[in-house]
Amino acid sequence: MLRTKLLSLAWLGIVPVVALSGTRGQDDEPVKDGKWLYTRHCAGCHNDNGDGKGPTITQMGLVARDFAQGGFAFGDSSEQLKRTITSGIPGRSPMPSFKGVLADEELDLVIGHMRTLMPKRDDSATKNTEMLVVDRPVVARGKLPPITDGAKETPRGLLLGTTEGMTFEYDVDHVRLLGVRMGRFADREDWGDRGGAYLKPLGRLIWDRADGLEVAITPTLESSYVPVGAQRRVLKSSFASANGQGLEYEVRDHDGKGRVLATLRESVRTRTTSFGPAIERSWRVQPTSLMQATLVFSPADAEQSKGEAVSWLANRRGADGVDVTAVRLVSTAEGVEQWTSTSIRLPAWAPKLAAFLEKELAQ
Amino acid sequence: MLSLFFQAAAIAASESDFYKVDYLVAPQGERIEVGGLDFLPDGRLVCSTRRGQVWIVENPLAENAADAKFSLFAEGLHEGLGLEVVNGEIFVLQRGELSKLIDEDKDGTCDRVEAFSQGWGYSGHYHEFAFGLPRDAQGNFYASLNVSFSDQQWWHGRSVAPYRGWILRIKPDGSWEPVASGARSPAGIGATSKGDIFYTDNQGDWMPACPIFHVKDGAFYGHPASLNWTSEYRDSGRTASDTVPPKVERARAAIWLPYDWSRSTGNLVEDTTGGKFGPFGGQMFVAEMTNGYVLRAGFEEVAGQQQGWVVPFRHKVGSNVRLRFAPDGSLFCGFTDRGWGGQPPGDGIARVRWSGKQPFEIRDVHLLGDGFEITFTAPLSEIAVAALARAEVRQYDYNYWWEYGSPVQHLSPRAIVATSLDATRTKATLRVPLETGMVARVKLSGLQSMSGAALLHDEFAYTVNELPGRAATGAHVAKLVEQPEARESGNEGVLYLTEGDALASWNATGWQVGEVKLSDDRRALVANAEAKHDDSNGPTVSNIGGAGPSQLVSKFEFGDIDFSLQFQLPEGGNSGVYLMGRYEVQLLDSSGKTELKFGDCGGIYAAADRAAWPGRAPTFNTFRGAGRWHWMSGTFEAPRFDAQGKKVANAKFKRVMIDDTLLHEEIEVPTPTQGGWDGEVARGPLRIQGDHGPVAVRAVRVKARDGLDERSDWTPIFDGSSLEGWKISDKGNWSVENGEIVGRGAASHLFSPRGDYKDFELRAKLRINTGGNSGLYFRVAYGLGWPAGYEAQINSTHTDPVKTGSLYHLAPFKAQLVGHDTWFDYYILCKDEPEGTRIQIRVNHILVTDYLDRDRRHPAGHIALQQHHEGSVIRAKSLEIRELR
Repeated sequence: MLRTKLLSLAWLGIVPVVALSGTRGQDDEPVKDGKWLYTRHCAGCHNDNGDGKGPTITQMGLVARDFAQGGFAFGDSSEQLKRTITSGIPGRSPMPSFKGVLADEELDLVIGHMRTLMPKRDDSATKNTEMLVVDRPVVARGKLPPITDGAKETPRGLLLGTTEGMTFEYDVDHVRLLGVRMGRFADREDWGDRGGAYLKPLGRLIWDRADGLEVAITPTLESSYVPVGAQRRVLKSSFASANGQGLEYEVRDHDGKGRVLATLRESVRTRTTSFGPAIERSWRVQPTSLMQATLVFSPADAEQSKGEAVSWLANRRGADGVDVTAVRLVSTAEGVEQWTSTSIRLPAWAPKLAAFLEKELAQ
Repeated sequence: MLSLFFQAAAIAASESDFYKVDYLVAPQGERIEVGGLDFLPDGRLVCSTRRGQVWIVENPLAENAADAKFSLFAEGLHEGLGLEVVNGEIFVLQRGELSKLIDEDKDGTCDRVEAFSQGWGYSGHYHEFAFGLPRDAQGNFYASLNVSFSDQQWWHGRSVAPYRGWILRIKPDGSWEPVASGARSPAGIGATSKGDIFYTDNQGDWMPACPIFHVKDGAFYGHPASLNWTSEYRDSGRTASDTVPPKVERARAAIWLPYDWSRSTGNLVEDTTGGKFGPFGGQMFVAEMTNGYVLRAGFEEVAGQQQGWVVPFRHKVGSNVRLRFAPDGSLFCGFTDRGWGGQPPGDGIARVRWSGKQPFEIRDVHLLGDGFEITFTAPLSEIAVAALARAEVRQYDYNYWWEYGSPVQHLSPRAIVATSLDATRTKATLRVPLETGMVARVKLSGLQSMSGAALLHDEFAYTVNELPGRAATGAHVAKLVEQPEARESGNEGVLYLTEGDALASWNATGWQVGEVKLSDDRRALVANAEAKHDDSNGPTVSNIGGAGPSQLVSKFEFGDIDFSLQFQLPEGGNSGVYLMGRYEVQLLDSSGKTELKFGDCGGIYAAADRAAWPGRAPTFNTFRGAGRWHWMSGTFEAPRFDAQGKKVANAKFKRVMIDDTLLHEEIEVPTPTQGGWDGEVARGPLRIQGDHGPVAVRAVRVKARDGLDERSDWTPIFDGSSLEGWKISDKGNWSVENGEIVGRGAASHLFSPRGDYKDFELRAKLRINTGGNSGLYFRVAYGLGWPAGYEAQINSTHTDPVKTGSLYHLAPFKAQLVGHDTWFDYYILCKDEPEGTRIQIRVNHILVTDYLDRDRRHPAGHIALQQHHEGSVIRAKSLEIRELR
């Protein structure tokens, strides 16, 4: 495990804080106040004065968040900052996860020191249309703006915000995952004025399309049934509580009033890996009589390989990284199939890390 | 004098002496914009809001309203404009779904939202509200869907998603059916204890004021947009006109609410409190937003028609949209001003309680064949009979038209013939001759109770659809009238290619004009002599009976265009639409196919060399069957070439749709498809394949997306404000309205100040009304009658066969290229060339006429506009010229 973690932080170009923090602490017994913790864990990138131009990050040719500028991508409440520090920022940012590195009370101290480097926070400035995810997941329904330039708006959209700060964005009419965001949840602009504006997700898009995983429902060999027309998915419910969050839906024949071919429960969550936070989806599929379910991975340019405990599916995307998706068949009981997938964006050479991630996910 | 004296002596009373209003206190910082109210079995109040929240209110009946406590049960819904508690379960109507809200872990907040019923359309337009949610005795829910008002022509309600403008019945198993159409903004529904459902609508287009309608299966309430979803319209491919009244039987409103009482109506509820709310048991209470009224109403059936009366009950309560009776008999009012502005407060909840004191009110009104029987809540005093005789009775009706609302029409007083009072002194009779199809507004001045109280509200309005004991007249209060001139048609810039003389725009060997139907064996299309084409789509063009292979090829050439057409095929039919004659979208009877290829209906066909272009299958099979009209639309971009003629960008289908289904987006086609003409060019005609079997098309329309003139050196001829210097011949009626020249009245011509225009380009935006006829003259000499000069004809639907795009007398053109009441762009080039005078006419940027006048008939002159005949209306603006030297 330790080796995996070191590797993961090394590729991010971050000083391996886990190894260092043990040795120096014993020598001079410093007062581990917020400033001390900040200097140790944060200043390498964010600099002593918080301007984001610390030596480690500038060596990488980058700058980190300038605290003096105020705005944080994932919110500046203490809960939101704590979440960002513990989960890290997946995708293109080198901000690592400090989970297991900083204890909860140490996080409070660090955030306390950060506040001295930030402009004073004005709680009343929060727009009263902003929806917050605090201690429980939240589902919001409304018309969503195009997820990327050139895409279409989604009249019946659904945002599922998890307490880890991720937002799963769905199209309800087709029960399809459009993308995943991280950061603040949503601005309910459609309250304003006469209504009808977008329900505006506020998080940064970290996964700008569905990951290509779809449950396919087909007749079994014994079946003489021929599906008519395209299958339709029909939302049955959304759920969000301390026990988890997701959607339940049916796959139906043709026009949406046709025969039910399967019922599905799709839950989503954030999974913390040593490579940063990853997107996890779990399916529980109950095909109806003489129907069967398979999980298929569709992108044409995906490289697929078979792992031991998991199947590896790597989908190359542009110059800035590779989206890696690991799929595990959880169980095949009588009439019920269950899968779990974990998706994360890694640097372009990341498939070399696959073996480490595989071991971690297999547990 | 006498009446004044008695009035002064009456005891002044106010509404609050009898009905006290208390306001619940919302949590700090929260605005509760109510969309639905109901009570849980344990007495807690549940409230859904426009903001998509659901609140539970503990202790809603507390003596001190501030003791009622709100807690948030759910948030994030897509509005919630209807709520109903059924067996303790909470149902909330979202825009596109009726949902059941469940608290699985019993922690007081919703953690599961079940989609109980869904499937009606929601396009995303802001005004597509879904309102609800009463139930009938069978446990069916009722919901009503608003039309949208979102595009530039905001004054026309539209129904662009299924069943917008309909009342829906949602059954206990979650299935639903559309029940009645013609709704516009049906903001409230209510059920009576007898099982009748009523809905309220709001003033606007086709709704002259705010009505209450009785919901009956199959009824149509007057707003045409919803008709798009009737099978009759869907199968024929028709869409409802914004401005032409549909030929559909219209249901009559049970009550037309006087506009000064209700400018924006919410729901209605029946008083079933058994007297706990006072003396009005069984009557309906109606929510009103703008004035903050609660109104009181009663219905009765006369000659099979629901109708009734309405009186004000309580005013300035708040922006009332939802009413609900509480278990203790108090009336809860829910407010939202919806961001529009209404009576303050614009959000929150109020509770109206009866003090127990008997108000002196009009209790009830019953219509007689010759007047009214009016019941009061207390006996009338001695002076009552004399005071009754002084009652003012006036009747009025409205216009049924597409304009926003209607003023009161035919307002006329009705003379009271006799009055009487029964022995209890609580029932008065007003004998007054009334007309059907009119609202009667009755003001009772100077009435007092035995105890000296004045009437708290002394006016009522009764909607007299029919009179008892008389033969039913079927008269409407909202009377069909001649429709006002349309503002704009929505087809600005569109070129019609199969209207008027439907083949005039085409090279069409073997094609013919006439309606078609399937042959008996369904394998062919045959002429349908009985059918007539409908005005919205124009005539049908088909290749049936044609001899041998033939193609329909437009005479005009296009580059980048929006295109649309309707088509139908017989069983086994095969055709195609070739953009620029080269790039084909396939038309095919692909019934039942599930694995679609490029050769299926809506596919972009492959090139003969499959490696060069493999084609693209449509995303869905949209073919609905032989003999049915399908509507194809799309946007196409021509290939681009550099100065050397080398192609730099491929032809592209930016979008292809059949009916409402998107089949292709941003598809580049690198080479002509199989069967397309060879070579790639910048402009080409539209071609419809006719050599693979029978096909019929209609409403073929294009809109140029290129060829727009962006040169800035045009000189206005008309300054947009005055006709100073212009000359009018004969007794013309020319004026300037909204920066437009408008010609009306008797035949006349309007001549430009200068009369020496010779070689030039001329352009203008023009609009001709239904049946109108005009012309844009150039090189014309001033004179009476028909002046001498060249005339570019302006005529969409006048009986004159020479239509817009023609050079009159010299190059007549008989297709109707532009719609009536529709702005179009006219461009004229006129210049002398060695062989003669060159004249080109473009309509909506497409070259229609290119004529060389070898006789050089008119050397120079004015620019002029024609007013052709009484009834014709020509409008012109942006009249500009570029003189050529």
